[in-house]
Amino acid sequence: MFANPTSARVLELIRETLERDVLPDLGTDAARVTVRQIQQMLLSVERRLPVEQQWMADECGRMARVLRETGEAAAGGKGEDAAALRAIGERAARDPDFPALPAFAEINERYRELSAALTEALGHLHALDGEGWEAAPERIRALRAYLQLRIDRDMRGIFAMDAGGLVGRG
Amino acid sequence: MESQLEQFIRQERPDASAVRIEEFRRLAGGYSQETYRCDCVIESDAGTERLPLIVRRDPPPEGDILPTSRRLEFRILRRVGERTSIPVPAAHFLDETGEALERPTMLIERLAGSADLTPLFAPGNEDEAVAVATDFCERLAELHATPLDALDPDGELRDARGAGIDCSGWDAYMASSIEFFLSSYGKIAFDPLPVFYDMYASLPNRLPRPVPLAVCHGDYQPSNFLYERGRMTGVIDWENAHVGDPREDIGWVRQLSAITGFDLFGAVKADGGFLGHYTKVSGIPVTEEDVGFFQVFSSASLAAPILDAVRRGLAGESNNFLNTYMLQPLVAAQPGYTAILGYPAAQEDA
Repeated sequence: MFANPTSARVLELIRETLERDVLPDLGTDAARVTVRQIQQMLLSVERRLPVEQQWMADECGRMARVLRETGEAAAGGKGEDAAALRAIGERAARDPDFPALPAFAEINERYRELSAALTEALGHLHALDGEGWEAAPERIRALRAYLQLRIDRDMRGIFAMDAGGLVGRG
Repeated sequence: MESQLEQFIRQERPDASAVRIEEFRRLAGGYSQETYRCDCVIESDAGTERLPLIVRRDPPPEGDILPTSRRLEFRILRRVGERTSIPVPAAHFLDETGEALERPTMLIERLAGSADLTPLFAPGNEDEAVAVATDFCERLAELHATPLDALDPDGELRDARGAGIDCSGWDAYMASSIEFFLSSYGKIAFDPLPVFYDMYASLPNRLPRPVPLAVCHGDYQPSNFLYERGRMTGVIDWENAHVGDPREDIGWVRQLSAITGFDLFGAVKADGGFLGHYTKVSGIPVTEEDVGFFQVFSSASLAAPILDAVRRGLAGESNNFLNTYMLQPLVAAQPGYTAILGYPAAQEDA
């Protein structure tokens, strides 16, 4: 996938295009209000994307901990409610916490750096292949096997051309 | 724009007593030029002429996906029309500088025929598909077999993009083209793009046998011709015409036949198929290996301006959303490139 643009940056460009190219041409107040609502929600998703997985993982740990503690506090309690709290505490303690996820910016930067290194390596390998280095074809093949996985994932998980093909081609 | 067109045509046709533009409308789609259609009615002492026109105008520079020259396109249309039997639109008028029509613009004949290949390749229409595909192959062979000096006497199509391509011979052309791809990558890659770089860097190790350079159409593919009753009625969109290796056009036909699903390549039956028939008509030998190489070469050539368009959009140099939208076809193109380059299958658990 691309390190640049990030998904948030793509949404920002869409939001700006709605403002610049779409809003001025809309004919009704209702349509303008709908576009404003879309823009606001796009901004919300832009802000959510870089923190969503990190905060979810972190909050899973926080929720589990507070529920465990609550179940432990209800250990001496009597009646159905106390029993239910103990059961909830046990359910929350069942799975281990997720490891802390690095910040999105950190992952993105690392992905970009390694992609640049891989690209550079391909150039050197082709040069060495041209000079007859025997190991070059196999190393090129190994890098390409990884890249094929990346392309397959892009096509399977991100790509949306099934929704209308290439739009606007003459 | 209609009144600007009327005024411009009146300048170009001093014999006209009146010029009228009718049924003017912009054609939707198209990723490069702004395209309009209209009829132009010209009154003069000789009578009334009605010219069915296509108007192709440069987009604003910041949003130009594939910057090309209207002047060169206009001139190659005229030369191909005069010096070959390839059907092309008559090139009527050129506003080379954009003085009259705001940006460089050419006015060309609107030809008869359809560009919709769906009915051509529909079941039961195989004979027409074979006839059109054969014509498509033969016209390409004719273009490539036409002496370079007849189509490009002034050398304007040598290094048509002004990229420093050396057309003094085949070796120089290939070396300078590949050098251009590799050096332009550093300027236009808005993100590390390993598959594109792999494509460029692999080329020097796979060079085919040389053939004489020729005028290439530069975007010869299923979207860029018209047909009617089993014949091509026009080859259009010559904006990327340049002097190069003629097999570039064949690689691109193969690539786009596969992407679009309109298999013009496979529909040719004479002489054992497209390559055999092309070789017989043109005298230029082409092997399957050559076609594979030039699929990569042509893709590399045409990907460069698209990568740059995306870069300009992300850098804020263009406000045209199309620049951002070009990310979609860039992703879409990659499985085709990896297939041509022979990438091994991915292993999720490796």
